[in-house]
Amino acid sequence: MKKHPVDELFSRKLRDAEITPRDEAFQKFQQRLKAKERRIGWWQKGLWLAAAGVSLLLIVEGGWWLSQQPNEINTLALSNRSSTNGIAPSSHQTSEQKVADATNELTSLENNAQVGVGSRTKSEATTSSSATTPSKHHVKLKDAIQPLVQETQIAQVEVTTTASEPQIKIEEPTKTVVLTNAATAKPTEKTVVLQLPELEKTLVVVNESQTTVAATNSSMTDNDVLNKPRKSTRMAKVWQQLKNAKNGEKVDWDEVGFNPNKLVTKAIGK
Amino acid sequence: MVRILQLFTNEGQLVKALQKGDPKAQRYFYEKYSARMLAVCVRYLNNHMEAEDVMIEGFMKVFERINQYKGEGSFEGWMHRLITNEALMRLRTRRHIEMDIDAPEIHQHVHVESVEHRLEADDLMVMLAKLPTGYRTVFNLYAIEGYSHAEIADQLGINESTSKSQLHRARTLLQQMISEVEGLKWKV
Repeated sequence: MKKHPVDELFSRKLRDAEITPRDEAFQKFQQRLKAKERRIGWWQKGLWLAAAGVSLLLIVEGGWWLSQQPNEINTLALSNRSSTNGIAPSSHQTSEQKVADATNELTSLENNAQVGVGSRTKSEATTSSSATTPSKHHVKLKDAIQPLVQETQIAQVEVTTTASEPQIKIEEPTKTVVLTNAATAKPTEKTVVLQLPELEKTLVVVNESQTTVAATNSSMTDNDVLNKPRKSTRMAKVWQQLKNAKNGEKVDWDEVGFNPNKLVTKAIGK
Repeated sequence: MVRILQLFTNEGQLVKALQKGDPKAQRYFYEKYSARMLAVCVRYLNNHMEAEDVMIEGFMKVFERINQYKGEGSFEGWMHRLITNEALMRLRTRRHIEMDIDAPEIHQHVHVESVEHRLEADDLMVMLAKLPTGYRTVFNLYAIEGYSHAEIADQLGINESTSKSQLHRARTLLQQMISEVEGLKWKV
């Protein structure tokens, strides 16, 4: 189809026509490009940039989390320290001193209980009240020649004192041991913990021995008798009196448990 | 400028660079097509400053939709259509397209072939600027851009018969103007 001459003229002349824009048009074009770049957010510039941002955020959060982990441990440690330090220094020191004193006392008790009569001088040398061991108790009985009633009273008093004092001393170390375990685990404190059951046993033994002594109201004077087992004490006493009768020495019939003279008088009287 | 021109030796390289948002490619695109596209916009809008605005807006549309260009047809043709649509949109929003049906009939016949070598593009641009908006728009779309009447009717929202009558009246007015210019030039 042939084009109209006017259409042909205008199409040929104006199809490739050019009009140079002004410089202001180029500046406006540049401004529009910058405005477009500003409008386009960082998330629209590409997935790489968005992924980089997300990964950076994760790294920062991970680093913060990792940095927080040691801080929490440190804070826990500090809180423990502060809790232990929160106690007044004097009380802390006193507790430590108590621990030390208690350990010394307990060791002395244990040594006395184990050594027994053999460590008589050592037990006498100790000035602490915890030195009330069976050996000392028996030494007192041996030295003081008093009526049986008074001796039993003394024995009971001593038994009560010895029974009461170790209980107090046991409670104090347990408290201090708990505190020291919470604060810091030291090897010395472990030794204290290991000594506690043994001390309780020794104390029980001491009490039993003292109570048996008080119950029998005996006036044992011979060291051999003390060396004998506790269960055969009565038999030992009877045996000792029989030995005295055999050797012609004075026989304490009360120690034996019966007096033959009294039995004879009763029989004659009947 | 020489260095930029050396970077984009063909249309494909330019398109790829524009798809990546390369600022150099965008500048090269402006330098290469701004004068031609401004002429297109001036043909439709008949106002140099407004045509510059429409051209820049059209370039922004090209950059935004550059990924939609799949290499089917020439890039310049695809871009030309975008710029034309932008100009038509501007006319539509400002209600500049008023179909003049009362234009006088011109029965004077002008031999265009005998005077075309004496007319320059600027002369023809002046003639187009004198046309009413409806005449000019339809003549631009049909005679210069190569649109069919159906496409013009679809683009402008008018009937095909209206498009045909507008084209006919535009031709008649242009012939009249050419004869007047021819007469003046012959007198000179």
